[in-house]
Amino acid sequence: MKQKNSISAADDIILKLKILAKEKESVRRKLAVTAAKLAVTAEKLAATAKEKESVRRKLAVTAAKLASTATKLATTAKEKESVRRKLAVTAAKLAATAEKLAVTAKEKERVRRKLVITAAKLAVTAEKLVITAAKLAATAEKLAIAAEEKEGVRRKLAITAEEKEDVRRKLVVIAAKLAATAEEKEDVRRKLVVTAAKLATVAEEKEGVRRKLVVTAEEKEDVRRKLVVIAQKLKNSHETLEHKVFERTKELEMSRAKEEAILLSIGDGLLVTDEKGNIIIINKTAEKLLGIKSEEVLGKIFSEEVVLVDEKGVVIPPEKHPVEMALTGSVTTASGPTYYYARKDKTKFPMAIMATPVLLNGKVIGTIKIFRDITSEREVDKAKTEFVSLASHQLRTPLSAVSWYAEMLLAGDVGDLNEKQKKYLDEVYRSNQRMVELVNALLDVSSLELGTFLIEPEAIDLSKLVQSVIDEQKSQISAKQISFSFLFEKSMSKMRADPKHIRMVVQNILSNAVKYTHEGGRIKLSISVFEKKNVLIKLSDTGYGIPKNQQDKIFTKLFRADNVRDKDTDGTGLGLYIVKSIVENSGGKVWFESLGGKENKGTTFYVKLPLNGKEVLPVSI
Amino acid sequence: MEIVKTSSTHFLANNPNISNFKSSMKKQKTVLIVEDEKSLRGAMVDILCIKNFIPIFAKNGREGVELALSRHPDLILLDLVMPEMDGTAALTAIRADDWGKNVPIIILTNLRTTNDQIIADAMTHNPTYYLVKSDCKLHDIVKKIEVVLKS
Repeated sequence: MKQKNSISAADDIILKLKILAKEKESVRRKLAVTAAKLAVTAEKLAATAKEKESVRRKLAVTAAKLASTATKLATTAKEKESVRRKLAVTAAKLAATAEKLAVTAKEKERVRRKLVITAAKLAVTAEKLVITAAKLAATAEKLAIAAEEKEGVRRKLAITAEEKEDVRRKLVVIAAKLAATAEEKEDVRRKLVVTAAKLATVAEEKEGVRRKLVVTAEEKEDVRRKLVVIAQKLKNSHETLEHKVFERTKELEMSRAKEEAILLSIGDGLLVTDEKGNIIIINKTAEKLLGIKSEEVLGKIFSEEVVLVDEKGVVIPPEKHPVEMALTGSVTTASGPTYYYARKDKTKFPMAIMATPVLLNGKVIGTIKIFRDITSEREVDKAKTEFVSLASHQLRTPLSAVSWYAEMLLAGDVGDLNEKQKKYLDEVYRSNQRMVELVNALLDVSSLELGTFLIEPEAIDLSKLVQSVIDEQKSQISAKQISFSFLFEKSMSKMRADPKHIRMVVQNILSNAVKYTHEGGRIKLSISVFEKKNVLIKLSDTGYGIPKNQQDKIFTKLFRADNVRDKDTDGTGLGLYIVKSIVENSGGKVWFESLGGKENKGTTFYVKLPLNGKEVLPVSI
Repeated sequence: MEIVKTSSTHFLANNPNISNFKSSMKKQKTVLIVEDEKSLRGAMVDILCIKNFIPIFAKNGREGVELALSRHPDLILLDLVMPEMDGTAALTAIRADDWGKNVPIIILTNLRTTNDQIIADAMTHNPTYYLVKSDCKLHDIVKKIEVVLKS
């Protein structure tokens, strides 16, 4: 059995060996296939290497082109040398890069060759596989490793290609930059051309200026020559002028002497002082009037040399002298109180003095005083006043006599009269009264015009005063059947006024209203406080009115409006003139409203008077 | 001094010698009229007689002063503008007298009242009153005399 068992075990081993051989044969075949595949792969790698070689060549060509470009750029211009050098460097770098690429290509070639050898070895190995099957697996592994390495190389090659592409792009950029640099250079060149042109222009201008300077120098020379001529002419003119000045001075002296003679011969006293009041000119009339000699007073203060006194002989203090007032106040003193000069012989005479400051650029540099003896004028004024006085006395005396005797007769003091006698005598009496009024009015006017109207305010009862005036005229008012009303503001305190004058004012405006209002007309009189400090007398009538074109003349002395003249009414034309004079002298105002032109629209007169009165002193004559 | 005849119908000035007339009129007041103008003087004398006064009169200031100081009238009517001695001088002289300094004196004038130096001067010698002849009736003068004598 053991034999049998050994025979069967040998048979099993033979069988297993046969299976193993078959399996080895299958592996050998598979290895042959793999070797064939590897050969194909090696061929493909060879092809890739060839393509890479072609790329390398193209790059070499590009490098060569760039080198040529660099060379071209290098050869452009001497002034572009530095650029060219850079380009050369760049080109060198590029060449180096190209060389590196070439080296890489060689290495690749070497790898390729190694692969070819390896492939050949593999083919040998494959053939040897039949002998050393065990080596096959190792070999296969090696091949696998080699394949992996190839894959790495391939990848590297791919990366290298990308790097090349990158380099190419950079080269393109560099080329573009180079082109830009070339343009900038061109630009710089053009600017240089422009600058050169400008410099040429400046050079031309300088030349122009130089030429002008030459011309100016010529002109200067010309001017110098002219100046010499002018200097000569001036010398001649100067001589002529000196002669003329000499003649003119003579003329001026004559003229001055003449003017002085005129000044000194003025009929009025003339006195000129400087700003301190020192006498610098005094004419003959002044010497004569003052009884002094010019030698005695020239250069002296006037107010100290001549004594000025007032009417009563009281000495006027120097600061009140017209000359001093003109000096200190820079005002012309023309009017004012009358002063008298007291002469050394104690005689005095009244003076009209006008002292005026002499202004130069707004500064008082002296005064001019003109004065004259007004003795004769004063005499005339005195005669006028005396005439008024005399007229008053002499005219009114017979009027008073007529009045008084008629009065006694009418009163029946010496027996009764019959009606006819009474009527006639009444006519005589009234006419006489009118004459008295006219004389009084004329005398008032004379007084007013002489400025001798004295207003003496006193406390008066205006209501009573006005009522008495109304009573005086009541008969005329009722005779014309005029409706009359009188309103008096009771609250009004007593006022101060000159009763004589207030009476005259009210008399005049009321008698006018009565006189110039139709029968059956209306008159309204009212008195009220006005603006607190004044009294307002308002008198309205429905009378003839004042024609519009004559309203501005109604206060004029002796003026009577046409419409009332035509009406055959009595009147002196003095009433309103007196009213206005009195009212204005009393610090009041009189005015009226009248719808003139249209008849019978009436007139309203207003008299405003201050409640506290106003003392007005007469201006002495 | 003018003595007016008593027979005169109008000029009824009393004669200082008519003692019986004076005694019978004991209450009557004597008024001295100093006036140079005859017609005015006559009117005043007549109205005073009519109104029961005893008028005595002078034609100028000098006579007026003499009469005033010798007769001591109750009141004096004094004109201002007169020959020989004017009213102001007469007024001064009367006021200088012991009796005269208190006698009522009414100035009667026809001068302007508004502004007249003569009036202004006269007013400084204390006249009792002053009237403007042409502006007042004769009866107003009498009334004024009565008022002044009453006070």
